[in-house]
Amino acid sequence: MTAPVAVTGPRVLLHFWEHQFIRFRKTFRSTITAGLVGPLMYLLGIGIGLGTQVDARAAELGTDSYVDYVGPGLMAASAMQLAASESLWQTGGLLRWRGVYVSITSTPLAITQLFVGHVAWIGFRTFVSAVMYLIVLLAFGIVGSPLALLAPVVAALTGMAFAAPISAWTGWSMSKGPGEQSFPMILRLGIIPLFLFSGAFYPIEQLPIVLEWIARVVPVWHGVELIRALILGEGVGLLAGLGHVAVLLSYTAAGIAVGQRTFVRVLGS
Amino acid sequence: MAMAVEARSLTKRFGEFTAVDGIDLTVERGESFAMLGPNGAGKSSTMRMISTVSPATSGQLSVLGLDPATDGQAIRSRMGVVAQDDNLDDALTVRENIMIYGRYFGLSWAAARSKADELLQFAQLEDRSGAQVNSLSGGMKRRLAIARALVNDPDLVLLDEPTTGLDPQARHLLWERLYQLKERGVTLVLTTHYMDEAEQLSDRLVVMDQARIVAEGSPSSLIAEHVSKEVLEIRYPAEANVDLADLGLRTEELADRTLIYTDRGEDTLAVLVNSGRTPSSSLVRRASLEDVFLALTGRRLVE
Ligand SMILES: Nc1ncnc2c1ncn2[C@@H]1O[C@H](COP(=O)(O)OP(=O)(O)OP(=O)(O)O)[C@@H](O)[C@H]1O
Ligand SMILES: [Mg+2]
Repeated sequence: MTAPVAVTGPRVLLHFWEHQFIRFRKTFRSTITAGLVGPLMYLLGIGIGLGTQVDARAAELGTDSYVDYVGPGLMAASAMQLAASESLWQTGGLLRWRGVYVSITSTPLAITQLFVGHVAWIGFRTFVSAVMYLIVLLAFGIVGSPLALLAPVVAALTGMAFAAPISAWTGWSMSKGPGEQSFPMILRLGIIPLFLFSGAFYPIEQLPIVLEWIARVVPVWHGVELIRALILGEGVGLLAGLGHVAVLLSYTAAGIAVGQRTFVRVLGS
Repeated sequence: MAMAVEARSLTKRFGEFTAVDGIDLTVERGESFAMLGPNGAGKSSTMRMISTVSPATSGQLSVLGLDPATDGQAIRSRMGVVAQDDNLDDALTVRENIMIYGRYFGLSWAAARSKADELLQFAQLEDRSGAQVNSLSGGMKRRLAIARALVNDPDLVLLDEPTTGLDPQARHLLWERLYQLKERGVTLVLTTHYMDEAEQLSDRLVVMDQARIVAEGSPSSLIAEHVSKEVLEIRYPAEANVDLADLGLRTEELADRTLIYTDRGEDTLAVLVNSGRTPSSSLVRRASLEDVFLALTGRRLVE
């Protein structure tokens, strides 16, 4: 018989990612397809379709055409959307309906570690989708700088900045709260407005002052700005860049602190 | 060596509600220990505290000599848990469920593969190795959940209602497998609604009711202590009003029949027949843990 080595410390997290990766691999083909079709639709429908109407004034946006403006911004906004849906139904399923996370609580992995692994995994998921986004942007000739290679990393940070707090909510709502009934509401009243007010479609300065400030406080605009700068190679000041990253990381860290508690509550009561 | 499980005044509250009310229990190494009790008795809540996932509200608990509050990771690495729900991963195949789980316990891929083969054989699931979990029957899923829990060669295995909802054949197969584990010296802690399961599998058991332990002992000692050797079950037509007080035996009126606790069932039946109180039907059987539960709580175990 093979005596198992005691797995201690964070090493066991690697096995969590391995587990998620093997689950993910099973749906890889449909993920790839969806990952390419999504951006293609946006770029054709909004970028080119709407673009022909507004290209004349694209210079005001600082780009040659509207598709150059909207394409990179949508990479960040899509990262937010993907992370949100992974953090709602997908996470609810792993916690309850399917019990995958419940069974993990009997392994050496601690629930607090599980939450960190969970958020990082969604970060990886958004990274993969962002890479496919980048491929489509390349095909449209929108990429203007090798710095664009960093854009999927920022997309992953944007994804985690949403995954951590939203998964924290899911953990809470599955234990004491309203459960999955709250999920469509979060999408409609939270994520879709943020998508529209993210600065992906137009500069947030266009918004009424209150909405503009909401957009500045919420992480998605920071992702949009940074990703657009990286992809178009228009450069962003070092300080501003670090500021954007700091906002994204702060949301992630705060979400993890809360989510560790809500996951302990839902999985370990 | 430390006890497998040792609990003193162990208590679990959910808000105002007390699910486990100051219980004491000790499980020795190599022992097979059962918790018998009706729905809501607090069996799963106790199991979840032992499995280190649910913190005790108060009292002391030690598992494999360690403290679940601080040494959860070390305890879990030497324990196997079969929860009341199977919680299998439906995105993975039968074999992957075991292998991927084994990886969390530090098995190399090669070790995980050979362990999975060994356990699939143990669970009689070799021919389902590549199947999707959702295609398995309830009994097969249960066996897979048990196989998965054994992937780390645990010293202690917790089984929460291992056979609830299974047909008799599936139950007997599982009992046989659990008996094999016991023979290998693995400590088993199981919960059940079924007295025959507790009698088959446990060296010692506690009877739980309403968050407390109401009796403790080996199956045979509990029967000897709380009920007679035999039980005479009799039925009379609904309109009959038969007085049994003169027998001087403990009786229990159920909705559809009457139980008479007696050391010699046939003799007692003869007394009834001879005194003109012949029941419309009768049955003499050995007393079981079900009778113990009824005697202790006045209620039946499985409603
Ligand atoms: N997370 C929880 N929050 C609130 N109450 C709970 C929780 N878990 C269990 N309870 C309550 O505690 C009591 C004991 O539940 P438990 O699951 O331990 O019983 P059990 O003996 O395993 O019953 P069963 O045979 O039905 O599985 C029940 O009344 C149950 O409703
Ligand atoms: Mg239970």
